[in-house]
Amino acid sequence: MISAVLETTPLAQRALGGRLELSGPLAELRRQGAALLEAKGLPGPRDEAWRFTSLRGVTDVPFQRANASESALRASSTPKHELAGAVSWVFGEVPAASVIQALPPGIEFWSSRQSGPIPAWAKASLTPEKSAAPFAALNACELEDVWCFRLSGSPAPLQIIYPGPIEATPSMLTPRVRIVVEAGAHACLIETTTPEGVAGPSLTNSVSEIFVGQNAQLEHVRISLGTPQSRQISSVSAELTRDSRYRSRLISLGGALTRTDLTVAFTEPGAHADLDGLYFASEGEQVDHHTVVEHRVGRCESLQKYKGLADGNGQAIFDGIVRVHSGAAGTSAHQQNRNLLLAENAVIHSKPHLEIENDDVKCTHGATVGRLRLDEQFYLQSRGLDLETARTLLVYAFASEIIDGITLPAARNLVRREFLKKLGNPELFAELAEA
Amino acid sequence: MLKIEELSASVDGKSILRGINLEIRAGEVHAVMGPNGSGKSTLASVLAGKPGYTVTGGKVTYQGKNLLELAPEIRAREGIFLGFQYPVELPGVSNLYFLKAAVNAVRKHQGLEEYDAVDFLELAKQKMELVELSTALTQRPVNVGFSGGEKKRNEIFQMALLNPKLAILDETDSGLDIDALRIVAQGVNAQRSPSVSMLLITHYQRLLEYIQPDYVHVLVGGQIVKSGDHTLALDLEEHGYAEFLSAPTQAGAA
Repeated sequence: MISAVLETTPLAQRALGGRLELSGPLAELRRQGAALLEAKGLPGPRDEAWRFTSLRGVTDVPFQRANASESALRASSTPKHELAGAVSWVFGEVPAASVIQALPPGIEFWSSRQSGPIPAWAKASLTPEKSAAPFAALNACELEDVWCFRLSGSPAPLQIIYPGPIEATPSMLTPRVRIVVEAGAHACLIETTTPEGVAGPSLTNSVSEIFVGQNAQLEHVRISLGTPQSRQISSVSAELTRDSRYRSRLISLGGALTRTDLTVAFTEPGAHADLDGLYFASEGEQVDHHTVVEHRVGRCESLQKYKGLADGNGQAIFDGIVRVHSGAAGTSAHQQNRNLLLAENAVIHSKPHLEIENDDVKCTHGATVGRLRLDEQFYLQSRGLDLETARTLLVYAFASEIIDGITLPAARNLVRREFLKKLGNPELFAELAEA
Repeated sequence: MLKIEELSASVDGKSILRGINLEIRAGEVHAVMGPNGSGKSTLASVLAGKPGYTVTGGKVTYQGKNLLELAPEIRAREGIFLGFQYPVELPGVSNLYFLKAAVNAVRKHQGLEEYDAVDFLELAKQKMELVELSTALTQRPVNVGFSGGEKKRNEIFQMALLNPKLAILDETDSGLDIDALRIVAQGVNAQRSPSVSMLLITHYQRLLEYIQPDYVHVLVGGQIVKSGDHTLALDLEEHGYAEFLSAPTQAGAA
């Protein structure tokens, strides 16, 4: 089996071929990652969770590790997506001690590059997950750095920017972060992936782990911007404890492949997860979202609303599972997926499902895939707008529900701006964007 | 202004309009009345260029041009306005933004200078008073969360801003309570002028108590079976459409 994996996936072969550096704080993560990768390999079309995702250009390419700090340096020297009012750090930077010291109140930082004792709150970031998904295992195996942030009180919004590799040859970055939201905190996290300006094929294989403490609130906005040569595979997981509230907004606006796996686990009662997503695949792009919501305990509520668009020959996937475990009484779980096909050759797969092992639950799910309605286009045309403008406005109207649901104004404006750019008509919306 | 000759049209292969003849001169207000399924809304849709309708015969001349070969947006820019029975909602797009884009598209086509934001807001404020729409409502997304009456008032607000030469109002009175009807009618009446023509499509005579038409036409089975002045609407109110439905020429009509 091992040899089969190594033969068929140059990416895994390369990862396992090098000598693993098994000293320092990342040793256990790396060891476990390599063991999982060796045992299971990377997925292919026969894996159910990857059936619709084409991994051409990913597993068949022996991406080399990018120079993370140089890549970060380039990104931070040409800031494009930094949010006003937020603490914005580019992953891969090696922040000086004085910079870490100067963080505003309520934000603490630890990186595995730092010497000295590991703070207790950051330790969980180094504990390997026994059943990590294949790309999370690859991430662990290739790991060079782990970033941890602890947010407490009402800190300034925290933005983490993931740059693209600086190299022109096929290169890979493997960011890994852990965010700990302390009990009672009200925090906002924005993750932005921007492989813009990257010369060659790139892979960003990231892992984000989030822990929301008791009675804490986190708004988490994740914006993935892509290029025709960028592949992004992101594993995001959130653990929600008693009476916590988690708002996730996953925004994926293209790329050769942009796949995000979101796992939300309720581990204590009384928590609430509000999970929205917006994705848009145009010509040559594949955008996937896979969500798993684990209602392990009762009296928790999850709401999912994902909206997707595909244009040209673009492909988009929404695959959502809600699992209500036995004993999770009083669960409320709702999942909704709405899609718009903008072209004949565009493809959208929608696969919402519920797995319920309990009686006392309120669960609903629904999915639609449609096209722009002629009568709606006609309404706009009958007001003098040309067909292209009419369609653009209708597409924006479709997406606006998700965009307007982003609470932090700076993040909302960034998403709106990028979405309108994607629609190819930013001038028309200059005023709209200021609204 | 508008001349319809022997206009026939079908939807999904089903013949709906069967030789309509109607001429509307500048400044005239015509009402087309008829029972459900008689083709009233189809007539409005065909004139405005709604997709899905096939013109199977006849011609329509608007200001000397062959109307039927113009795209819907060109008809709008040439001065035709259609007030919808069911206006579309546009979440995330503010009413004022949408209308400014629309008005400027029309002005550009007509060789007029486009409005900037300040001038447009000034103009919009005047017009919103006409239909008693609040500033808050006009800044909300187009028709989202509007009541039935607010949607119709918004249609008339749009009409006032777009300043059409020919306004076609399709069942603008449907679903309106008496106060909303009064406001809508007041908005329409304020726009009557010797250079503006109107075509009111309605099922009931009620609207015509507020907007008195110059001519009333009865549409049954896709044909105009009777024309008269505004008193015809009163007759219809009293006697209904039974007289026309039983006419032998209408056998088999929808």
